[in-house]
Amino acid sequence: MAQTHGTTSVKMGIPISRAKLGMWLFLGTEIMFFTAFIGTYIVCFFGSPGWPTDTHQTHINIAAGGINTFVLILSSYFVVVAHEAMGLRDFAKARKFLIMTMVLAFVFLGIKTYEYKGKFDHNILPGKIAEDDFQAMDNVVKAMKTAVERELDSLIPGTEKPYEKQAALNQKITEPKAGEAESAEQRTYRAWQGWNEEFNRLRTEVSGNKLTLKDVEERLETGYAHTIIVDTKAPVLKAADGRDLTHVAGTLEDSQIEAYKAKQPFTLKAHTGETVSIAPDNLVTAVIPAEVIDLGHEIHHPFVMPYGNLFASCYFLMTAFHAIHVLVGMTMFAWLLMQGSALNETWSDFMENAGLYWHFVDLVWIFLFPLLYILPGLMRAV
Amino acid sequence: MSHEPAAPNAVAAHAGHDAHPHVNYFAIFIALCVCTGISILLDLFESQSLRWVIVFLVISVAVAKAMFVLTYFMHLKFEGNWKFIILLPTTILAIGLMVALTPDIALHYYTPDVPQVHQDAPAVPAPAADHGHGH
Repeated sequence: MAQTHGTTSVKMGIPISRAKLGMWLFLGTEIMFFTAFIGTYIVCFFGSPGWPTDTHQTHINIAAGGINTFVLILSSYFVVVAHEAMGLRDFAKARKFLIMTMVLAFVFLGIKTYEYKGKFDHNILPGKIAEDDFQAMDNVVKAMKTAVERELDSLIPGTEKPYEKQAALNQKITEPKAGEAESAEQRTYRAWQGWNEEFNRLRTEVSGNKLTLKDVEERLETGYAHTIIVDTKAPVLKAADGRDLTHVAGTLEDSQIEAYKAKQPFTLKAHTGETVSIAPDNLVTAVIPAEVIDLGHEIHHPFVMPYGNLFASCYFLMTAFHAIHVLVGMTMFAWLLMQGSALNETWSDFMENAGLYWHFVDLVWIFLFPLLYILPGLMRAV
Repeated sequence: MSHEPAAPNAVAAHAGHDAHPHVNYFAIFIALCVCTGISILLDLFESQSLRWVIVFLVISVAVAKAMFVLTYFMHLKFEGNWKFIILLPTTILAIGLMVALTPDIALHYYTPDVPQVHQDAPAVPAPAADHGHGH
Protein backbone atom coordinates (compact mmCIF):
# COMPACT_ATOMS: atom_id res chain seq x y z
CA MET A 1 0.00 0.00 0.00
CA ALA A 2 2.79 2.36 0.87
CA GLN A 3 4.11 2.31 -2.67
CA THR A 4 0.83 3.50 -4.19
CA HIS A 5 1.21 6.81 -2.40
CA GLY A 6 3.70 7.89 -5.01
CA THR A 7 1.26 7.80 -7.94
CA THR A 8 -0.22 11.22 -7.37
CA SER A 9 2.90 12.86 -5.96
CA VAL A 10 4.48 15.81 -7.73
CA LYS A 11 8.00 15.34 -8.97
CA MET A 12 8.58 17.90 -11.68
CA GLY A 13 8.50 21.08 -9.70
CA ILE A 14 5.12 21.99 -11.11
CA PRO A 15 2.33 21.53 -8.59
CA ILE A 16 0.01 19.52 -10.83
CA SER A 17 -0.33 15.86 -11.68
CA ARG A 18 1.80 14.49 -14.48
CA ALA A 19 -1.30 13.50 -16.37
CA LYS A 20 -2.62 17.05 -16.32
CA LEU A 21 0.77 18.46 -17.28
CA GLY A 22 0.86 16.03 -20.19
CA MET A 23 -2.64 17.03 -21.28
CA TRP A 24 -1.80 20.73 -21.17
CA LEU A 25 1.41 20.23 -23.15
CA PHE A 26 -0.60 18.23 -25.68
CA LEU A 27 -3.23 20.96 -25.86
CA GLY A 28 -0.38 23.41 -26.50
CA THR A 29 0.55 21.45 -29.61
CA GLU A 30 -3.14 21.23 -30.54
CA ILE A 31 -3.42 25.02 -30.46
CA MET A 32 -0.61 25.25 -33.03
CA PHE A 33 -2.15 22.42 -35.08
CA PHE A 34 -5.46 24.24 -35.49
CA THR A 35 -3.85 27.67 -35.82
CA ALA A 36 -2.12 26.41 -38.97
CA PHE A 37 -5.46 25.47 -40.56
CA ILE A 38 -7.35 28.51 -39.34
CA GLY A 39 -4.48 30.81 -40.35
CA THR A 40 -4.37 29.29 -43.82
CA TYR A 41 -8.11 29.73 -44.15
CA ILE A 42 -7.93 33.39 -43.09
CA VAL A 43 -5.15 34.06 -45.60
CA CYS A 44 -7.13 32.36 -48.37
CA PHE A 45 -10.32 34.19 -47.37
CA PHE A 46 -8.97 37.73 -47.19
CA GLY A 47 -6.17 37.30 -49.73
CA SER A 48 -8.33 36.02 -52.59
CA PRO A 49 -10.51 38.51 -54.45
CA GLY A 50 -13.77 36.71 -55.20
CA TRP A 51 -13.50 34.16 -52.39
CA PRO A 52 -16.90 32.40 -52.10
CA THR A 53 -19.05 34.25 -49.56
CA ASP A 54 -22.53 33.38 -50.84
CA THR A 55 -23.72 31.01 -48.13
CA HIS A 56 -26.54 29.74 -50.36
CA GLN A 57 -24.03 28.70 -52.97
CA THR A 58 -21.54 27.18 -50.51
CA HIS A 59 -24.39 25.54 -48.58
CA ILE A 60 -23.17 26.99 -45.32
CA ASN A 61 -26.12 26.81 -42.97
CA ILE A 62 -25.84 29.44 -40.23
CA ALA A 63 -28.74 27.94 -38.26
CA ALA A 64 -27.05 24.53 -38.21
CA GLY A 65 -23.73 26.10 -37.18
CA GLY A 66 -25.43 28.16 -34.48
CA ILE A 67 -27.27 25.17 -33.05
CA ASN A 68 -24.03 23.18 -33.04
CA THR A 69 -22.30 26.03 -31.18
CA PHE A 70 -25.01 25.90 -28.54
CA VAL A 71 -24.80 22.09 -28.38
CA LEU A 72 -21.04 22.18 -27.74
CA ILE A 73 -21.32 24.95 -25.14
CA LEU A 74 -24.03 23.03 -23.32
CA SER A 75 -21.97 19.83 -23.46
CA SER A 76 -18.96 21.71 -22.04
CA TYR A 77 -21.17 22.88 -19.19
CA PHE A 78 -22.34 19.31 -18.55
CA VAL A 79 -18.72 18.11 -18.47
CA VAL A 80 -17.86 20.74 -15.88
CA VAL A 81 -20.83 19.69 -13.77
CA ALA A 82 -19.84 16.03 -14.11
CA HIS A 83 -16.30 16.83 -13.01
CA GLU A 84 -17.56 18.85 -10.08
CA ALA A 85 -19.88 16.01 -9.07
CA MET A 86 -16.92 13.62 -9.08
CA GLY A 87 -15.02 15.97 -6.81
CA LEU A 88 -17.99 15.77 -4.43
CA ARG A 89 -18.02 11.95 -4.79
CA ASP A 90 -21.47 12.04 -6.34
CA PHE A 91 -20.60 9.51 -9.04
CA ALA A 92 -24.19 8.81 -10.04
CA LYS A 93 -24.64 12.48 -10.91
CA ALA A 94 -21.32 12.48 -12.76
CA ARG A 95 -22.46 9.52 -14.87
CA LYS A 96 -25.78 11.19 -15.61
CA PHE A 97 -24.09 14.33 -16.92
CA LEU A 98 -21.54 12.31 -18.87
CA ILE A 99 -24.38 10.47 -20.60
CA MET A 100 -26.01 13.80 -21.48
CA THR A 101 -22.65 14.99 -22.82
CA MET A 102 -22.45 11.90 -25.02
CA VAL A 103 -25.97 12.54 -26.32
CA LEU A 104 -25.03 16.13 -27.19
CA ALA A 105 -21.86 14.92 -28.93
CA PHE A 106 -24.01 12.64 -31.08
CA VAL A 107 -26.35 15.56 -31.83
CA PHE A 108 -23.34 17.64 -32.89
CA LEU A 109 -22.10 14.89 -35.22
CA GLY A 110 -25.63 14.39 -36.56
CA ILE A 111 -25.98 18.05 -37.50
CA LYS A 112 -22.47 17.95 -38.97
CA THR A 113 -23.47 14.93 -41.06
CA TYR A 114 -26.55 16.80 -42.27
CA GLU A 115 -24.34 19.72 -43.30
CA TYR A 116 -21.84 17.42 -45.02
CA LYS A 117 -24.68 15.73 -46.89
CA GLY A 118 -25.80 19.09 -48.24
CA LYS A 119 -22.29 19.68 -49.56
CA PHE A 120 -21.96 16.20 -51.05
CA ASP A 121 -25.41 16.46 -52.68
CA HIS A 122 -24.49 19.75 -54.32
CA ASN A 123 -20.92 18.82 -55.18
CA ILE A 124 -19.37 21.41 -52.87
CA LEU A 125 -16.30 19.20 -52.79
CA PRO A 126 -12.61 19.81 -53.47
CA GLY A 127 -11.88 19.25 -57.13
CA LYS A 128 -15.55 19.15 -58.18
CA ILE A 129 -16.44 22.84 -58.29
CA ALA A 130 -16.48 24.81 -61.55
CA GLU A 131 -14.33 27.92 -61.32
CA ASP A 132 -15.17 29.22 -64.80
CA ASP A 133 -17.97 28.91 -67.37
CA PHE A 134 -16.33 26.10 -69.33
CA GLN A 135 -15.87 23.96 -66.23
CA ALA A 136 -19.50 24.64 -65.31
CA MET A 137 -20.66 23.44 -68.73
CA ASP A 138 -18.42 20.37 -68.45
CA ASN A 139 -20.05 19.61 -65.10
CA VAL A 140 -23.49 19.66 -66.74
CA VAL A 141 -22.30 17.26 -69.46
CA LYS A 142 -20.81 14.95 -66.83
CA ALA A 143 -23.99 15.03 -64.73
CA MET A 144 -26.09 14.28 -67.78
CA LYS A 145 -23.80 11.43 -68.80
CA THR A 146 -24.13 9.95 -65.32
CA ALA A 147 -27.92 10.24 -65.39
CA VAL A 148 -28.24 8.78 -68.89
CA GLU A 149 -25.91 5.88 -68.11
CA ARG A 150 -27.64 5.14 -64.83
CA GLU A 151 -30.96 5.00 -66.69
CA LEU A 152 -29.39 2.66 -69.24
CA ASP A 153 -28.18 0.44 -66.40
CA SER A 154 -31.69 0.19 -65.01
CA LEU A 155 -33.12 -0.64 -68.45
CA ILE A 156 -30.40 -3.15 -69.40
CA PRO A 157 -29.01 -4.64 -66.19
CA GLY A 158 -25.67 -6.37 -66.32
CA THR A 159 -21.96 -5.70 -66.28
CA GLU A 160 -21.53 -4.94 -69.98
CA LYS A 161 -19.94 -1.68 -71.07
CA PRO A 162 -22.28 1.23 -71.82
CA TYR A 163 -21.80 0.97 -75.59
CA GLU A 164 -22.58 -2.75 -75.47
CA LYS A 165 -25.74 -2.07 -73.50
CA GLN A 166 -26.71 0.63 -75.95
CA ALA A 167 -26.28 -1.80 -78.85
CA ALA A 168 -28.45 -4.32 -77.01
CA LEU A 169 -31.06 -1.63 -76.42
CA ASN A 170 -31.04 -0.60 -80.11
CA GLN A 171 -31.52 -4.21 -81.10
CA LYS A 172 -34.54 -4.56 -78.86
CA ILE A 173 -36.17 -1.56 -80.51
CA THR A 174 -35.69 -2.81 -84.09
CA GLU A 175 -37.19 -6.17 -83.24
CA PRO A 176 -40.98 -5.48 -83.18
CA LYS A 177 -43.05 -7.80 -85.30
CA ALA A 178 -44.64 -6.16 -88.32
CA GLY A 179 -48.10 -4.78 -87.77
CA GLU A 180 -47.89 -5.00 -84.01
CA ALA A 181 -47.88 -2.04 -81.71
CA GLU A 182 -44.74 -1.28 -79.80
CA SER A 183 -44.58 -2.81 -76.39
CA ALA A 184 -44.34 -0.63 -73.29
CA GLU A 185 -40.71 -1.65 -72.83
CA GLN A 186 -39.85 -0.63 -76.36
CA ARG A 187 -41.41 2.78 -75.85
CA THR A 188 -39.28 3.17 -72.74
CA TYR A 189 -36.19 2.22 -74.72
CA ARG A 190 -37.06 4.81 -77.33
CA ALA A 191 -37.53 7.38 -74.60
CA TRP A 192 -34.02 6.59 -73.40
CA GLN A 193 -32.72 6.91 -76.96
CA GLY A 194 -34.24 10.37 -77.12
CA TRP A 195 -32.39 11.31 -73.97
CA ASN A 196 -29.17 9.88 -75.26
CA GLU A 197 -29.54 11.94 -78.44
CA GLU A 198 -30.02 15.07 -76.36
CA PHE A 199 -26.97 14.19 -74.29
CA ASN A 200 -24.80 13.60 -77.37
CA ARG A 201 -25.97 16.86 -78.90
CA LEU A 202 -25.09 18.75 -75.72
CA ARG A 203 -21.70 17.07 -75.42
CA THR A 204 -20.79 17.74 -79.03
CA GLU A 205 -21.86 21.35 -78.88
CA VAL A 206 -20.12 22.03 -75.57
CA SER A 207 -16.84 20.45 -76.67
CA GLY A 208 -17.19 22.23 -80.01
CA ASN A 209 -17.29 25.52 -78.09
CA LYS A 210 -20.66 26.34 -79.63
CA LEU A 211 -22.53 27.10 -76.42
CA THR A 212 -22.23 29.65 -73.65
CA LEU A 213 -23.08 28.82 -70.06
CA LYS A 214 -26.28 30.82 -70.52
CA ASP A 215 -27.30 28.59 -73.45
CA VAL A 216 -26.71 25.49 -71.36
CA GLU A 217 -28.69 26.97 -68.48
CA GLU A 218 -31.60 27.77 -70.77
CA ARG A 219 -31.50 24.32 -72.26
CA LEU A 220 -31.56 22.81 -68.77
CA GLU A 221 -34.50 24.97 -67.75
CA THR A 222 -36.62 24.59 -70.83
CA GLY A 223 -35.40 21.58 -72.73
CA TYR A 224 -34.75 18.95 -70.14
CA ALA A 225 -37.05 19.79 -67.30
CA HIS A 226 -40.53 18.25 -67.31
CA THR A 227 -39.84 16.39 -70.49
CA ILE A 228 -42.60 14.01 -71.43
CA ILE A 229 -42.55 11.04 -73.67
CA VAL A 230 -45.03 10.83 -76.49
CA ASP A 231 -46.39 7.64 -77.98
CA THR A 232 -44.55 6.83 -81.17
CA LYS A 233 -47.83 5.84 -82.84
CA ALA A 234 -49.07 9.40 -82.57
CA PRO A 235 -48.32 11.90 -85.37
CA VAL A 236 -44.59 12.24 -85.14
CA LEU A 237 -43.25 15.55 -83.91
CA LYS A 238 -40.58 16.86 -86.19
CA ALA A 239 -38.47 19.87 -85.51
CA ALA A 240 -37.60 22.35 -88.24
CA ASP A 241 -34.16 20.75 -88.62
CA GLY A 242 -35.79 17.35 -89.09
CA ARG A 243 -34.87 16.18 -85.62
CA ASP A 244 -37.35 13.74 -84.16
CA LEU A 245 -39.05 15.34 -81.19
CA THR A 246 -41.17 12.35 -80.46
CA HIS A 247 -39.30 11.50 -77.32
CA VAL A 248 -38.30 14.89 -76.10
CA ALA A 249 -41.35 16.98 -76.53
CA GLY A 250 -40.81 20.11 -74.57
CA THR A 251 -41.52 22.08 -71.48
CA LEU A 252 -44.68 21.70 -69.48
CA GLU A 253 -46.39 24.46 -67.57
CA ASP A 254 -47.82 23.57 -64.18
CA SER A 255 -51.33 23.50 -65.65
CA GLN A 256 -50.13 21.13 -68.37
CA ILE A 257 -48.55 18.83 -65.82
CA GLU A 258 -51.90 18.73 -64.05
CA ALA A 259 -53.63 17.87 -67.30
CA TYR A 260 -50.98 15.27 -68.03
CA LYS A 261 -51.51 13.66 -64.64
CA ALA A 262 -55.31 13.75 -65.14
CA LYS A 263 -54.85 12.28 -68.64
CA GLN A 264 -56.61 15.20 -70.29
CA PRO A 265 -55.69 16.65 -73.67
CA PHE A 266 -53.51 19.75 -73.74
CA THR A 267 -51.19 21.64 -76.01
CA LEU A 268 -47.55 22.24 -75.39
CA LYS A 269 -44.79 24.25 -76.92
CA ALA A 270 -41.86 22.11 -77.97
CA HIS A 271 -38.49 23.65 -77.28
CA THR A 272 -38.11 24.29 -80.95
CA GLY A 273 -41.01 26.73 -80.70
CA GLU A 274 -43.66 24.53 -82.29
CA THR A 275 -47.02 24.16 -80.63
CA VAL A 276 -48.08 20.55 -80.41
CA SER A 277 -51.42 19.27 -79.23
CA ILE A 278 -51.21 16.19 -77.12
CA ALA A 279 -54.11 13.81 -76.74
CA PRO A 280 -54.19 11.55 -73.72
CA ASP A 281 -53.84 8.51 -75.96
CA ASN A 282 -50.57 9.82 -77.28
CA LEU A 283 -49.01 9.84 -73.85
CA VAL A 284 -47.15 6.89 -72.56
CA THR A 285 -48.49 7.38 -69.10
CA ALA A 286 -48.08 3.88 -67.83
CA VAL A 287 -44.50 3.12 -68.65
CA ILE A 288 -42.64 6.37 -68.19
CA PRO A 289 -39.99 5.63 -65.61
CA ALA A 290 -39.87 8.48 -63.15
CA GLU A 291 -36.14 8.74 -63.69
CA VAL A 292 -36.59 9.62 -67.33
CA ILE A 293 -39.09 12.36 -66.61
CA ASP A 294 -37.01 13.86 -63.83
CA LEU A 295 -33.69 13.66 -65.62
CA GLY A 296 -33.65 17.42 -65.98
CA HIS A 297 -34.23 17.86 -62.26
CA GLU A 298 -31.33 15.66 -61.33
CA ILE A 299 -28.86 17.86 -63.08
CA HIS A 300 -27.98 20.71 -60.79
CA HIS A 301 -28.20 24.23 -62.01
CA PRO A 302 -24.65 25.02 -63.11
CA PHE A 303 -22.77 27.60 -61.07
CA VAL A 304 -19.36 29.20 -61.19
CA MET A 305 -17.55 29.61 -57.88
CA PRO A 306 -14.05 31.10 -58.11
CA TYR A 307 -11.79 29.58 -55.42
CA GLY A 308 -14.62 27.15 -54.64
CA ASN A 309 -12.29 24.14 -54.56
CA LEU A 310 -9.88 25.88 -52.19
CA PHE A 311 -12.83 26.87 -50.03
CA ALA A 312 -14.10 23.29 -49.93
CA SER A 313 -10.61 22.02 -49.03
CA CYS A 314 -10.32 24.50 -46.15
CA TYR A 315 -13.86 23.77 -44.96
CA PHE A 316 -13.47 20.01 -44.88
CA LEU A 317 -9.94 20.13 -43.46
CA MET A 318 -11.00 22.28 -40.51
CA THR A 319 -14.41 20.77 -39.77
CA ALA A 320 -13.33 17.15 -40.31
CA PHE A 321 -10.30 17.48 -38.02
CA HIS A 322 -12.61 19.09 -35.48
CA ALA A 323 -15.09 16.22 -35.86
CA ILE A 324 -12.24 13.71 -35.34
CA HIS A 325 -11.46 15.51 -32.09
CA VAL A 326 -15.12 15.21 -31.10
CA LEU A 327 -14.89 11.46 -31.69
CA VAL A 328 -11.74 11.20 -29.56
CA GLY A 329 -13.45 13.14 -26.76
CA MET A 330 -16.46 10.83 -27.00
CA THR A 331 -14.15 7.83 -26.70
CA MET A 332 -12.74 9.23 -23.46
CA PHE A 333 -16.22 9.79 -22.03
CA ALA A 334 -17.30 6.34 -23.19
CA TRP A 335 -14.32 4.89 -21.34
CA LEU A 336 -15.48 6.61 -18.15
CA LEU A 337 -19.07 5.47 -18.64
CA MET A 338 -17.94 1.89 -19.27
CA GLN A 339 -16.72 1.79 -15.67
CA GLY A 340 -20.38 1.82 -14.70
CA SER A 341 -20.88 1.84 -10.96
CA ALA A 342 -17.16 1.19 -10.51
CA LEU A 343 -16.55 4.85 -11.29
CA ASN A 344 -14.75 6.29 -8.28
CA GLU A 345 -12.31 8.96 -7.22
CA THR A 346 -9.36 7.17 -8.87
CA TRP A 347 -10.87 8.35 -12.18
CA SER A 348 -10.75 12.01 -11.16
CA ASP A 349 -7.56 12.75 -13.09
CA PHE A 350 -8.93 10.98 -16.16
CA MET A 351 -12.17 12.91 -15.84
CA GLU A 352 -10.33 16.21 -15.51
CA ASN A 353 -8.16 15.50 -18.55
CA ALA A 354 -11.11 14.34 -20.65
CA GLY A 355 -12.87 17.54 -19.61
CA LEU A 356 -9.88 19.72 -20.57
CA TYR A 357 -9.74 18.01 -23.94
CA TRP A 358 -13.48 18.47 -24.47
CA HIS A 359 -13.30 22.16 -23.58
CA PHE A 360 -10.52 22.52 -26.12
CA VAL A 361 -12.75 20.94 -28.78
CA ASP A 362 -15.40 23.49 -27.79
CA LEU A 363 -12.76 26.23 -27.99
CA VAL A 364 -11.83 25.33 -31.56
CA TRP A 365 -15.48 25.42 -32.61
CA ILE A 366 -15.86 28.82 -30.91
CA PHE A 367 -13.42 30.13 -33.54
CA LEU A 368 -14.61 27.99 -36.45
CA PHE A 369 -18.20 29.17 -36.08
CA PRO A 370 -17.61 32.91 -36.72
CA LEU A 371 -14.90 32.26 -39.31
CA LEU A 372 -16.88 29.75 -41.39
CA TYR A 373 -20.47 30.83 -40.77
CA ILE A 374 -20.57 34.52 -39.80
CA LEU A 375 -17.72 36.18 -41.72
CA PRO A 376 -18.77 35.08 -45.24
CA GLY A 377 -22.15 36.77 -44.78
CA LEU A 378 -20.48 39.96 -43.54
CA MET A 379 -17.94 40.12 -46.37
CA ARG A 380 -20.42 39.19 -49.06
CA ALA A 381 -20.83 42.64 -50.57
CA VAL A 382 -17.10 43.00 -51.39
CA MET B 1 -5.37 39.10 -25.33
CA SER B 2 -3.56 37.84 -22.24
CA HIS B 3 -5.66 37.18 -19.24
CA GLU B 4 -5.01 38.97 -15.99
CA PRO B 5 -2.66 36.99 -13.78
CA ALA B 6 -5.19 37.22 -11.02
CA ALA B 7 -4.76 33.67 -9.85
CA PRO B 8 -4.24 33.88 -6.13
CA ASN B 9 -1.09 32.04 -5.24
CA ALA B 10 -2.65 30.90 -2.02
CA VAL B 11 -5.12 28.84 -3.98
CA ALA B 12 -2.55 27.58 -6.45
CA ALA B 13 -0.27 26.50 -3.67
CA HIS B 14 -2.79 23.88 -2.63
CA ALA B 15 -2.44 22.33 -6.06
CA GLY B 16 -4.49 19.40 -7.32
CA HIS B 17 -7.98 19.45 -8.73
CA ASP B 18 -9.69 19.53 -5.37
CA ALA B 19 -8.50 23.03 -4.68
CA HIS B 20 -10.78 24.72 -7.21
CA PRO B 21 -13.04 27.20 -5.54
CA HIS B 22 -16.67 26.98 -6.43
CA VAL B 23 -17.56 28.66 -9.71
CA ASN B 24 -21.09 29.41 -10.85
CA TYR B 25 -20.69 27.35 -14.02
CA PHE B 26 -24.26 27.93 -15.05
CA ALA B 27 -23.64 31.68 -15.19
CA ILE B 28 -20.64 31.04 -17.46
CA PHE B 29 -22.83 28.85 -19.64
CA ILE B 30 -25.41 31.64 -19.92
CA ALA B 31 -22.66 34.14 -20.76
CA LEU B 32 -21.44 31.85 -23.55
CA CYS B 33 -24.97 31.53 -24.93
CA VAL B 34 -25.41 35.31 -24.86
CA CYS B 35 -22.11 35.71 -26.74
CA THR B 36 -23.24 33.21 -29.38
CA GLY B 37 -26.50 35.15 -29.72
CA ILE B 38 -24.55 38.39 -30.17
CA SER B 39 -22.44 36.93 -33.00
CA ILE B 40 -25.57 35.69 -34.78
CA LEU B 41 -27.21 39.11 -34.36
CA LEU B 42 -24.08 40.80 -35.73
CA ASP B 43 -24.40 38.59 -38.81
CA LEU B 44 -27.76 40.23 -39.55
CA PHE B 45 -26.19 43.68 -39.87
CA GLU B 46 -25.74 44.65 -43.48
CA SER B 47 -23.68 47.79 -43.29
CA GLN B 48 -21.04 48.42 -45.92
CA SER B 49 -19.30 51.19 -44.01
CA LEU B 50 -19.26 49.44 -40.65
CA ARG B 51 -18.31 46.06 -42.08
CA TRP B 52 -14.81 45.94 -40.65
CA VAL B 53 -16.09 47.13 -37.28
CA ILE B 54 -18.57 44.25 -37.26
CA VAL B 55 -15.87 41.79 -38.31
CA PHE B 56 -13.75 43.05 -35.42
CA LEU B 57 -16.70 42.72 -33.03
CA VAL B 58 -17.47 39.16 -34.17
CA ILE B 59 -13.84 38.11 -33.63
CA SER B 60 -13.81 39.92 -30.26
CA VAL B 61 -16.91 38.02 -29.16
CA ALA B 62 -15.21 34.76 -30.17
CA VAL B 63 -12.11 35.73 -28.15
CA ALA B 64 -14.32 36.62 -25.18
CA LYS B 65 -16.01 33.22 -25.40
CA ALA B 66 -12.62 31.52 -25.62
CA MET B 67 -11.48 33.39 -22.50
CA PHE B 68 -14.61 32.32 -20.61
CA VAL B 69 -13.95 28.68 -21.48
CA LEU B 70 -10.21 28.87 -20.71
CA THR B 71 -10.60 30.84 -17.50
CA TYR B 72 -13.50 29.02 -15.85
CA PHE B 73 -14.27 25.73 -17.62
CA MET B 74 -10.58 24.87 -17.97
CA HIS B 75 -9.84 26.34 -14.54
CA LEU B 76 -6.91 28.44 -15.72
CA LYS B 77 -7.96 31.19 -13.30
CA PHE B 78 -7.18 28.88 -10.42
CA GLU B 79 -3.99 27.36 -11.74
CA GLY B 80 -0.50 28.37 -10.75
CA ASN B 81 1.94 30.29 -12.90
CA TRP B 82 2.94 27.12 -14.72
CA LYS B 83 0.09 27.90 -17.09
CA PHE B 84 2.16 30.74 -18.54
CA ILE B 85 5.19 28.51 -18.98
CA ILE B 86 3.13 26.05 -20.98
CA LEU B 87 0.82 28.36 -22.88
CA LEU B 88 3.11 31.30 -23.66
CA PRO B 89 5.42 29.52 -26.13
CA THR B 90 2.53 27.98 -28.03
CA THR B 91 0.66 31.28 -28.08
CA ILE B 92 3.73 33.12 -29.36
CA LEU B 93 4.27 30.52 -32.08
CA ALA B 94 0.58 30.59 -33.05
CA ILE B 95 0.51 34.38 -33.26
CA GLY B 96 3.89 34.28 -35.04
CA LEU B 97 2.42 31.99 -37.67
CA MET B 98 -0.47 34.37 -38.27
CA VAL B 99 1.91 37.35 -38.50
CA ALA B 100 4.13 35.42 -40.90
CA LEU B 101 1.15 34.63 -43.11
CA THR B 102 -0.22 38.17 -43.12
CA PRO B 103 1.99 39.42 -46.02
CA ASP B 104 0.17 36.92 -48.22
CA ILE B 105 -2.96 39.00 -47.66
CA ALA B 106 -1.57 42.49 -47.38
CA LEU B 107 1.61 42.57 -49.46
CA HIS B 108 1.10 40.85 -52.77
CA TYR B 109 4.42 40.78 -54.63
CA TYR B 110 2.44 39.46 -57.58
CA THR B 111 -0.49 40.99 -59.39
CA PRO B 112 -3.58 39.85 -57.52
CA ASP B 113 -5.50 39.37 -60.77
CA VAL B 114 -7.72 36.34 -60.74
CA PRO B 115 -8.59 35.02 -64.17
CA GLN B 116 -11.66 33.22 -62.83
CA VAL B 117 -13.24 36.39 -61.47
CA HIS B 118 -15.41 38.13 -64.04
CA GLN B 119 -14.53 41.73 -63.42
CA ASP B 120 -16.69 43.43 -66.07
CA ALA B 121 -18.01 40.95 -68.58
CA PRO B 122 -20.81 38.78 -67.25
CA ALA B 123 -19.78 35.73 -69.21
CA VAL B 124 -16.42 34.47 -70.33
CA PRO B 125 -17.23 33.03 -73.78
CA ALA B 126 -17.27 35.77 -76.35
CA PRO B 127 -20.28 36.06 -78.68
CA ALA B 128 -17.97 34.86 -81.46
CA ALA B 129 -17.51 31.56 -79.67
CA ASP B 130 -18.97 29.78 -82.69
CA HIS B 131 -15.67 29.63 -84.50
CA GLY B 132 -13.81 28.67 -81.40
CA HIS B 133 -10.69 26.60 -81.40
CA GLY B 134 -12.62 23.41 -80.73
CA HIS B 135 -12.00 20.10 -82.40
